[in-house]
Amino acid sequence: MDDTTSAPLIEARSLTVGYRAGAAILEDVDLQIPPGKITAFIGANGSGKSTLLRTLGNALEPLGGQVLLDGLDLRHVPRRRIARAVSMLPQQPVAPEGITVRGLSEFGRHPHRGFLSRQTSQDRDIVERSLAAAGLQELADRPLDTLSGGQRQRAWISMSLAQDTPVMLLDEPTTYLDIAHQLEVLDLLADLNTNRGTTVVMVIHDLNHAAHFAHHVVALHDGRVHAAGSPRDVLTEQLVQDVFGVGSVVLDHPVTSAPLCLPVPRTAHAGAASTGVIDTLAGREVSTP
Amino acid sequence: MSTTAPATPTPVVSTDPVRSAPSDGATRRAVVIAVLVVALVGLTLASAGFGAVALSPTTVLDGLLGGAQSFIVQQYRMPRIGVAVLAGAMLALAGVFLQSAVRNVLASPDVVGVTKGAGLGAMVATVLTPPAVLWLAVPLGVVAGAALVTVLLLGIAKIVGSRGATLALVGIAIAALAGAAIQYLMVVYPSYADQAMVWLAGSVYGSTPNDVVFLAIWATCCVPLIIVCASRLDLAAFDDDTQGSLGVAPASNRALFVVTAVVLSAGAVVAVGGIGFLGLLAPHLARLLVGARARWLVPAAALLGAALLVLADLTGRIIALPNEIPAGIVAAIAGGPYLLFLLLREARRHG
Repeated sequence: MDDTTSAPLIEARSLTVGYRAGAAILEDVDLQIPPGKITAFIGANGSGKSTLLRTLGNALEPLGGQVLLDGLDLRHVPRRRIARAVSMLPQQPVAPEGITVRGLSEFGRHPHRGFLSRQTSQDRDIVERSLAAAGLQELADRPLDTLSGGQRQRAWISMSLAQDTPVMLLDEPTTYLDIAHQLEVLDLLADLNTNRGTTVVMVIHDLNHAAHFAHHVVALHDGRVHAAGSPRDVLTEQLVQDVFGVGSVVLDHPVTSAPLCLPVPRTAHAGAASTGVIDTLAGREVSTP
Repeated sequence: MSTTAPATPTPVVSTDPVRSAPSDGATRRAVVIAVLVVALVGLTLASAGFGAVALSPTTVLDGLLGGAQSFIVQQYRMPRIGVAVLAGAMLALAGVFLQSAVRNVLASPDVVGVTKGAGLGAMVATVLTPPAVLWLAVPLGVVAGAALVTVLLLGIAKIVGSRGATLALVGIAIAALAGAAIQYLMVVYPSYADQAMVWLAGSVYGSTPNDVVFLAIWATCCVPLIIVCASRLDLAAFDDDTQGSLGVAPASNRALFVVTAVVLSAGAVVAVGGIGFLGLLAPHLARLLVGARARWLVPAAALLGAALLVLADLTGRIIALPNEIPAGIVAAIAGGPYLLFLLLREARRHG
């Protein structure tokens, strides 16, 4: 984890993803995941964010095209080798019954171990460090199913950490969590990215989280990549309109100055005054209809 | 829970095996395994002693070493005990792996028809082939029957789903069909009726030392499969995507589990016929006692399967003297209500 420059490159080349041949969800996707950066996939429900993520993570076979890991087609790379380079945390993972937090984290070492070989002291070290990084030392011996949603998500992330991969894929890591826990998880991922140079790719619904935490945003719409680039370039009012069909106002976050996207519900347009306020805030001329 | 544990594995632990701290959890599980070993040895000695002729434990040990009662002990009782131990363990392990493969605790080889299919295969082989090649034809027939039923079952499960009671119902229907086919052959070929009864109900009656050797060889050949499956059992409890992320191919894993379960059940059926419910009962009890981690579950289930079949045989031999009730029928009497209980629990959970 010391040399951040050698993070592997994940690429999609004219990739078609979906669950059945003839029912592609995304077509002709050409994509490079910037190594050592945080990438966010955004898009409406059913736009193929998870499907794309799962295909990049080798959980799903491409219907066409290729996923390349450092230039090699995933289909030709042994599963274990992929598992030492890329981890993927699904949206609703299922763990063995009665497993403890530490037990879960220990499974992260699986791809690094030989057949039937026991846990080495190095494995144990990495597991303990992963638990510490996820702030779980105190909870390490608790069964997973006794934890709160946020703690549980951190436990799963500690497993990915123990897997010690330069690339982490996460499918909606903040779903079902309250704001505090959402930020806790995202801050943890941001720390990993800063301290270890881990490439993070996540599917995320909250555009402001994407704006704040991601360096690179990929917007999916209508079966293809609609836009990709920095949050500043991608997260525009026009894009929110095109991709989600929702009117919005994009401002600068008063503290972080990241783009801040405020959707405008159709039912709320009556408050012309408040629209005016927003437009003033955004530094635009107030148009009076 | 604080009182000293009695010498049987049945007690107190059912409260919640999972919540105890892991440090003493390992010790506790090791104790449970040790108790199961002791129980199995005790049952074996008891089984060698009880029966139409009662022998004291010292006579049994004496007979094992070639003493006065060595004929009864060595030629009559030890073979059936040996067969019961091996077949019981094999059926239990088949249950563990099949349940994991389809993620359904009701999917044991005896509930879903695998053992009945194996019995049908044996019956067809018995009827069709000359006696001289039966030694080969029956095992082949058994494997073919078990495999065929499994393919049929998984094929139907693909359409109707493999959740909860649905899969069990499909399996029970297939088992009923296979059972009916065996009975049909029994009527058409009455000279094979005795043998057919064994394929149907399961019994260790009349086991010879050769049967023990045969089964031991079969079991030994399964050991590499069992080890590989056991090493992947914990991983198989994760969802498919997480398994994939950890470098495991869930589909080929499942296939391996199914093949292992079929081979194990087939071996058991060749030796003891269609003993019911053992593959359901033993893994479930083992899970209650030691939890779901493979390191403990696999040995505990094997020991429980062995002990339960020895116990079923022993019970059948002494409960209705001078008659014998086949072990398979004893197992069914105990296991049937248990299946009902599990089905009701499933229904409540999904109702």
